[in-house]
Amino acid sequence: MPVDEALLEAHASYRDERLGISERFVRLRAGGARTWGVLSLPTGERRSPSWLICHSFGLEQIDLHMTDVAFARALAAAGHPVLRFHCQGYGDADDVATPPTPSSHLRDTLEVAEQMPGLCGDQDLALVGSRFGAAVAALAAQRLGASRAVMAAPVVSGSRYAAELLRARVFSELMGDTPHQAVTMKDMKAAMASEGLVNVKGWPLHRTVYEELGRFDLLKGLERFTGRALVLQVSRSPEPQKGLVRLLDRLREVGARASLETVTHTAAPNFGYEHFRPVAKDLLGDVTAGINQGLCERVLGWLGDEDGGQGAA
Amino acid sequence: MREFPVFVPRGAEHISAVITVPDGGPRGLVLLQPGGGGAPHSHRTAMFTRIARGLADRGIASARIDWKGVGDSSGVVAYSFRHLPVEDGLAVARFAMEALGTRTFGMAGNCGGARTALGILRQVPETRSAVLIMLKPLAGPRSQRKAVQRTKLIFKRFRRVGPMARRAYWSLRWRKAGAVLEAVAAVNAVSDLLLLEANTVKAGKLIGFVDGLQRKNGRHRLEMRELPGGATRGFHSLERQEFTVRHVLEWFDQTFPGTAPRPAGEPVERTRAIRH
Repeated sequence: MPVDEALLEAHASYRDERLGISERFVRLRAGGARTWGVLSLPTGERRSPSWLICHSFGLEQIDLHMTDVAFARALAAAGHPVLRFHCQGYGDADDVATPPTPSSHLRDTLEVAEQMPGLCGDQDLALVGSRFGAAVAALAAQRLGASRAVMAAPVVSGSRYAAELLRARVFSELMGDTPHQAVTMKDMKAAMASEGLVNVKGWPLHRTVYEELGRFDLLKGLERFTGRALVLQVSRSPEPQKGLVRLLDRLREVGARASLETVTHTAAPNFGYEHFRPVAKDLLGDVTAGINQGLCERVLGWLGDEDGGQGAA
Repeated sequence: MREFPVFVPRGAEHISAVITVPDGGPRGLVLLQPGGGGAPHSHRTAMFTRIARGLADRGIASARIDWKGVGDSSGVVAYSFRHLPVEDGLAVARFAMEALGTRTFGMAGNCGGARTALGILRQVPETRSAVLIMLKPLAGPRSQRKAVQRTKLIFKRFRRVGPMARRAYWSLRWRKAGAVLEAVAAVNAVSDLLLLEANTVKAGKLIGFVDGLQRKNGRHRLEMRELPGGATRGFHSLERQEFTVRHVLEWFDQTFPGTAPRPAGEPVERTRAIRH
């Protein structure tokens, strides 16, 4: 019996009348191969700009996926076409064997951005991302001359981020069943030097990738961006973080109309990490759902602000 | 091979899945169900994507599925071992079998996905084979009670006492594993079954149970293989990931009717040049 391709293709999309959106799987080119994306569209009137979502690096691609989906559905419900996709090295991309790097993220994002006007029927492009995805969104927005960029808890210093990745495994093992056997940062750096890679909670972090991450500096990478930029801090405390204040200053220096807003939440330390925790007896839930809601509200509020939100820090 | 991402309607929500179809008529369909820790249909480090493409190389179709509210599925996430998404999995399985025109069904799932598989497999008459990964019959969400959390922390401080106390605790709880063990026996009565289990206290007396079941069972294959990585959490071990991919591919290749279109020894992974 032949495969009913028509039936399969007829189910590549759905409409959600409650949210006022539709979502459709789309085939994309990225990094010399192909990948899958999801195009979220409003069922009603469309508004500019169209948004491209840049996912984060390594395991954060999984741990921030629900944030990316929340952005996509909230922006589409507000009238904007939104595209999310997998860079090569992740999820459903053709090439899931080659380790992704910061530069491969940027390469794939730029290539997918070129396909946005054909998919969305709109030349006005904006980018959004979380953690490392936010840094990619900023750099891609600069390269593409995008009108807006939204950065949620952006990674500013690559070397600090690379150390955080290693530390995540140390913390995970310290919280495990045999904390006295937990690996140390020294052990991991030694393994990186001798073996060429280190296992970060099941993600093979190769030395070359680690070194490229270490060289990454968002402040130096930003040279000219004249669009609107929103930096979103995710923290327990409302006090602005120094790194994000420096980023805000840099964005203004290079010509952006930039503002900083903070989403405070008790689950902020889980943002970018495993976030399915017991929420009631025998029930696991997403403890960062409130953060995602807060982020979406800030972005929609910022979009509605015609003045551009100067000096919100 | 070709890949078809789909949204399967389930009430007011839509369950997303990627259906991978081999060239030529499929030997059968394998449903891949991740666990309840938030992993999407491709699973962490794209492990299920690799399995799906490896199965396609062996002439077997697959559907890797998202839980409701996770990945690209719509809805709100809520995981409970008491209310597993059996109906969602069944809906995707039936949809995919109809689209592919196959009447041979198998399933692989890890942790909560393995428990869900136990519910689905018994309801699909076409079931031929299954792989349950880290079934851990006693596992459930960690207690939120402060007293329990404090006690666990105290025990963890002592190198020798902690592991002994954990063994004793899980051993005492074994009597609560009955429902899961009954389901394992029921699935094995209609299907070949492979259990991939880490050697941890949460696996409890599963090895002894499987030994006993093997002696009674004459019709269907039943095997249990130990996952490498010791007490490592989930798939945090790279060796465990590779072991899982290899053994899931081998198992379905051996237990599904027909033979792989490629000679043995071909690389199991496909990285590029997938035809769409």
